[in-house]
Amino acid sequence: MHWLLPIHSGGTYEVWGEATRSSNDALFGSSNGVSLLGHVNGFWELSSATYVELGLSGVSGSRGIDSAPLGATAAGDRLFGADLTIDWRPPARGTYQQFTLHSGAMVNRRTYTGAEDVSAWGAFANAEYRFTTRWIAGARYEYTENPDEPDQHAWLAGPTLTWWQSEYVRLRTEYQFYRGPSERFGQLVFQATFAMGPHKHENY
Amino acid sequence: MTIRMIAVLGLMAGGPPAGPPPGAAPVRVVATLPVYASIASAIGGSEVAVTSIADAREDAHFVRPKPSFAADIRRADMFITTGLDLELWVPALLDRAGNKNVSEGGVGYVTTYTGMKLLDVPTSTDRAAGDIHIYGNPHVFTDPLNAIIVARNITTGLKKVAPDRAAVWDRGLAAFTDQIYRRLYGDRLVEIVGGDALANLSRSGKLTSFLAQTPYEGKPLTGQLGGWLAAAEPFRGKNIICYHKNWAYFEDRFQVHCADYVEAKPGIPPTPGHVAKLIDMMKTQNIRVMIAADYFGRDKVETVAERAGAKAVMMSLQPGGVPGINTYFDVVDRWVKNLAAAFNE
Repeated sequence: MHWLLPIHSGGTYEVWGEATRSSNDALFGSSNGVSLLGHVNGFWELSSATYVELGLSGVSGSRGIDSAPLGATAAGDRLFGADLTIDWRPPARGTYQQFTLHSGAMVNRRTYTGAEDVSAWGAFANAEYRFTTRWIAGARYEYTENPDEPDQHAWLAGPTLTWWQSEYVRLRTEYQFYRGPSERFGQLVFQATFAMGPHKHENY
Repeated sequence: MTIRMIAVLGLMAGGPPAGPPPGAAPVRVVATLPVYASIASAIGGSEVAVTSIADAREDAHFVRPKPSFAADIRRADMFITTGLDLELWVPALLDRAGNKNVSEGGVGYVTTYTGMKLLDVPTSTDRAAGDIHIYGNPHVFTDPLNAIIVARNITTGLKKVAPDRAAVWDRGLAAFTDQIYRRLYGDRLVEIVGGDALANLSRSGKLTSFLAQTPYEGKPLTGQLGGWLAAAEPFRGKNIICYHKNWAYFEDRFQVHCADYVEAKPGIPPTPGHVAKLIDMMKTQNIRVMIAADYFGRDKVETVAERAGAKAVMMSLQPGGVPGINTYFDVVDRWVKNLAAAFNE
């Protein structure tokens, strides 16, 4: 369900609510119960070129106990997140000049009946700058703790370069430097995306 | 008693009321493009409160469908869009707004292209040809006669949304139509021949021969032509280079020809090889003028024109994008004057 709140001053505010079957292995394990999701989104235009968007999310559901600690008789997962987007695109130059920052942070609370609860968190930030119609340069950083063993954490960072042949074909390369609990490496990743259909205007 | 009798007579005559009911709120109109907002304002005057989604300076293909626009549409009585596949960001906004009255099929949903003869309708829909528009070229308002059709469609929408003010909308449409005719053909020719007759001749491609062959006071009517068509004389029948297929309807009305495009395929940025061929062609064929909407990179357009020894004419497609260009009439004025000036240099 989606509500566009009738608040007409300052910004635009939306609320989403969902009830779905839990089928996410990472979050809910083998559970097939009901999970509930809520999301609140605030959108503010700072100028004709710049906007800020802030979201708060929460999801909750029961978790299968097949991977739970010994002694646990029931388990659940609560995930809370906040996301922030800043976008700058001057209207007259919008087809060839744009800066976008996406970032977010999440906290996961894994609760057990008969065993100790576990908390872990993660965050990411991705910045991109379009400097011609076709070329976009960017950088990405991610950090995460292992939701089962929060003492273990990993991060990944690296630059990205994207070339749009047209709005239907995107070629992208990214150098990833990864550092985890048991290994570290660097790798170069290539991605090709092809789309079909009419013009793509879904991002804002 | 007298008032009651007049009201009864009015009902018997079946005519529309002379004006809006006292205290009626303005009709809230959201248009996708500033050009449609300008035309709606010209028709409705103070009886409409009009906003547009796209910024006058941006490319209508690539507008960000921001949540704030959805909030505007939720409160709207009427929504105006081209209706072709120019503003493909519209469905996302309408879904998000959840206002059934202005969604497709709703009483307040207006498509401006309805009733127009579309150009560049593809025979096949192959993306290898670039960002082709499957229903035809959607940049319809570059022909002033199409602006009249836009105005008629908006008027029809206003009559559905606020039938109590039908007389206001009809008066606005008549004034806008007359203004287009006078700006396009000049006052004198409109008074001699009539705007509707001239428009019919234009649409059937017979205007030039009609004016040349019809005597008036001992001379061909051609001498009475004024307005934009007279001002367009320096570029009539000339070849130009266009950046994108924005100008197809303008070409048709003003008899100027885009011999080639900087974009080899619509919506696909040009390759160096294509630009080199284009420059050779411009030099060989002595094409001296290149036109582009001003949201394309000025440096890029001017560099190509300079290398070909041509003049780059960059123009705003929408009212509100440039100081002093506030209405549709201002926009067309600027197109014609700037293009004529480039040929006169």
